[in-house]
Amino acid sequence: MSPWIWRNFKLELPDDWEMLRFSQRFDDGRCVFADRYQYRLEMTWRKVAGPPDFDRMMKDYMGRLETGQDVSKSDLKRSACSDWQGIEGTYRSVYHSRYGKYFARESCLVEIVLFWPDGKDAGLQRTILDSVSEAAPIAGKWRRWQAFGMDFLVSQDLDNRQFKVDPAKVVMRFSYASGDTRQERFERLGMVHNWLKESVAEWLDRHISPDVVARSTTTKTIDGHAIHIITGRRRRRAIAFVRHRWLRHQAAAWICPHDGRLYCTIHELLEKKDTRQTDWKRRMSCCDNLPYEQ
Amino acid sequence: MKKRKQQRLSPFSEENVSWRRLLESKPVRNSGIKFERSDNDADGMCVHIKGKKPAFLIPPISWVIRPRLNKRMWIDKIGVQLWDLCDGTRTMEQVIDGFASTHRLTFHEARVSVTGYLKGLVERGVIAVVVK
Repeated sequence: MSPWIWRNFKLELPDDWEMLRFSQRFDDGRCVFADRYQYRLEMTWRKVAGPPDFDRMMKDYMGRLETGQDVSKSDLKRSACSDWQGIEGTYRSVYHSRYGKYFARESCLVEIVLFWPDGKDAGLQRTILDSVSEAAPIAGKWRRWQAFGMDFLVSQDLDNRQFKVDPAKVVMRFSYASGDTRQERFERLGMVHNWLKESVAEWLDRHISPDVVARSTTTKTIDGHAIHIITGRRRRRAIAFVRHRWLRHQAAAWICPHDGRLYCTIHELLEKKDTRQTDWKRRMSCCDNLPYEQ
Repeated sequence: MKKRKQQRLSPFSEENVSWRRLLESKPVRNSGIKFERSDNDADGMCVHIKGKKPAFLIPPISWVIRPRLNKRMWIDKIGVQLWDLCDGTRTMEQVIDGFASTHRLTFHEARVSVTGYLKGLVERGVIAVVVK
């Protein structure tokens, strides 16, 4: 089983299930996971004021399903698994399990729909549902994300998210607002031997903004991971920010010897006032041999 | 409007979406094309595709207009790897698995890359996909 943490929700899924659809929104959204043949799990979340009336919710769901012609009333049954409430039944010739649970810390109603094309696996269902939990903030200031082979901590106050997921290229950018240059960015790139024609240090030097000045480069090796780090300063362009003209730029990149992917993390935060600049650590991990620094 | 209402009634937004049929299909090379391989596969490969004579190209028009019927296409290094895998015996799933293991990709990363690339080759008539 592989752990995933998305939007402060942690869950464990079979190793060959991959996230094919995702939502960046916090108030409501959904993720869809698939095995190699079809969708297997859909997770939706919705901010709600308080715990919902599950009895009424389930009745509504069943009513809506039964109005369709693809399901007969006898197919559907109310069910419970651990502390999840749900319904199960055959819908459009595939057996589904649909469960919901309220998570108080996140004030969210989470619904998990499992698709069982080859018949229900009660043990797997219980394992998955039991694994869903809220990921608590780390040290009161970091949110943990674990997805697409990356495991990283991001500042809790960076609420704007821009994710770009392509085959062998994942970029997850967090900022205060759209267009704000203050950012924390995490990247994972694959097929490195096809496109990387220079050293990782040279690539990183080219990859970061050309506006970064006063660069200093260091390299350290941790358990076979040669981590190249560049620190520098970048001037902000907006005149409104004249008091905080400089951003502190910190970037690190390395190739993980275990999966052969190139990992890159870039942090740009205000040079003044922001106390985090002094204790900048690499808060991204690629494998068990390279845990992030807290 | 009615359709939209029906969609909203369905509580399952993902309904039995499967690409199993695609994975069981077999990509095969077009036997009518010629190709030139260089000694080094990293350079790629040149494929000569025989085009179809347009219906309007009859005498006396064909005496004057002589379009080039043969098209040439350059396939890059990754395309050559896929070309080798598409030998007519492997299913799409096996081609994807082979590509994924060569490039250390996950299955779906390889699936999206391979199907996207092969789609281009199918459109140009370089390969065809045989569906059971």
